[in-house]
Amino acid sequence: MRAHVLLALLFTLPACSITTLAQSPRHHAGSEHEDESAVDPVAAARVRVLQNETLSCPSEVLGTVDVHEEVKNEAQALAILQRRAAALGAEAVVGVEFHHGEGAHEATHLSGMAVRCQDLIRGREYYVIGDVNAAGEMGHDEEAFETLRARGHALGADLIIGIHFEHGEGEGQAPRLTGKAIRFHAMPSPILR
Amino acid sequence: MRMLLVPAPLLLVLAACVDPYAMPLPASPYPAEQPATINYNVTMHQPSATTVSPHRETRSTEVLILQSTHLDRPAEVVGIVDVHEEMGHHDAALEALRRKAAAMGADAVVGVEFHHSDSHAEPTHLSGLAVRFVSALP
Repeated sequence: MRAHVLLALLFTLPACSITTLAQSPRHHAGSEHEDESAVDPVAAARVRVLQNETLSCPSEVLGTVDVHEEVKNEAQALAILQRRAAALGAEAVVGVEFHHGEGAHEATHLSGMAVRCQDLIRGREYYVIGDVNAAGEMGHDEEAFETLRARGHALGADLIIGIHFEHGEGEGQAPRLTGKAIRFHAMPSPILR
Repeated sequence: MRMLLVPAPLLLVLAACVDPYAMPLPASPYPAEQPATINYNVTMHQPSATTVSPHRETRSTEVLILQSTHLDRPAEVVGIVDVHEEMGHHDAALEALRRKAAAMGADAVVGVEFHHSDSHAEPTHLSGLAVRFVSALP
């Protein structure tokens, strides 16, 4: 078994069981947006930005995306969010939240989960090991994502399903990710190679 | 005589089958300068499934203003609306929020936040996510 276990992040949606798998750490939150300039603007514009955490397909969470900037033109914030999601290879950003900063000069917060359609369970039976959650610092949502992954790994999980992201409003409220760590019944899992 | 009467109805029926467009047209009084085919230079476009639905404006009175972020149906974010008004003009701020959202084609503004200014010199802020209800998701 390889030392670096690839932890799967599954995103289960209310209406349909929808999942995601992050096969390698790829995050674009805070100030780490080095790949953004290479993103095709047309591809970025195709990224759906959805208020709900609802897709019609099983989906994979690729990371959290957020825009913490003093954005004069709000349309710019939305475009930045799409670009960051496109840089991760996402088809959509779900569970999008917006929080206005206090006062005229504080940063606004626009965030969500970058996802793409992908079924990682593929009909396999699994059992739940336990709940996992992680909190990060405002502006560093990727830390919460990494912590969640590490906690799932520590539990010996193949995947984390039912991922929910809450950005928080600042003022002491940290971004928070929750999910359920699962393990497939039939081993070896294709995820744990 | 009887031999002549039998084919007469048959001739009438056949006359109805004659294609009037097959008959030679009367000569046009205008010179024939038009080309035989007209090229309209039409490009066919097949939109992808993820194409964003075309922008349409909604009536501002139809825009829902919701403090909650929970919706019972899928919704696509079409923009952020943020209104800065002087203190005491809350109704105007709410109306401006509706107007801005309507101009974006939104059906609702969700997660609406109100930030009161600390002093009279600073404006109040009313903001939220402008969303449009969608029937199909990716």
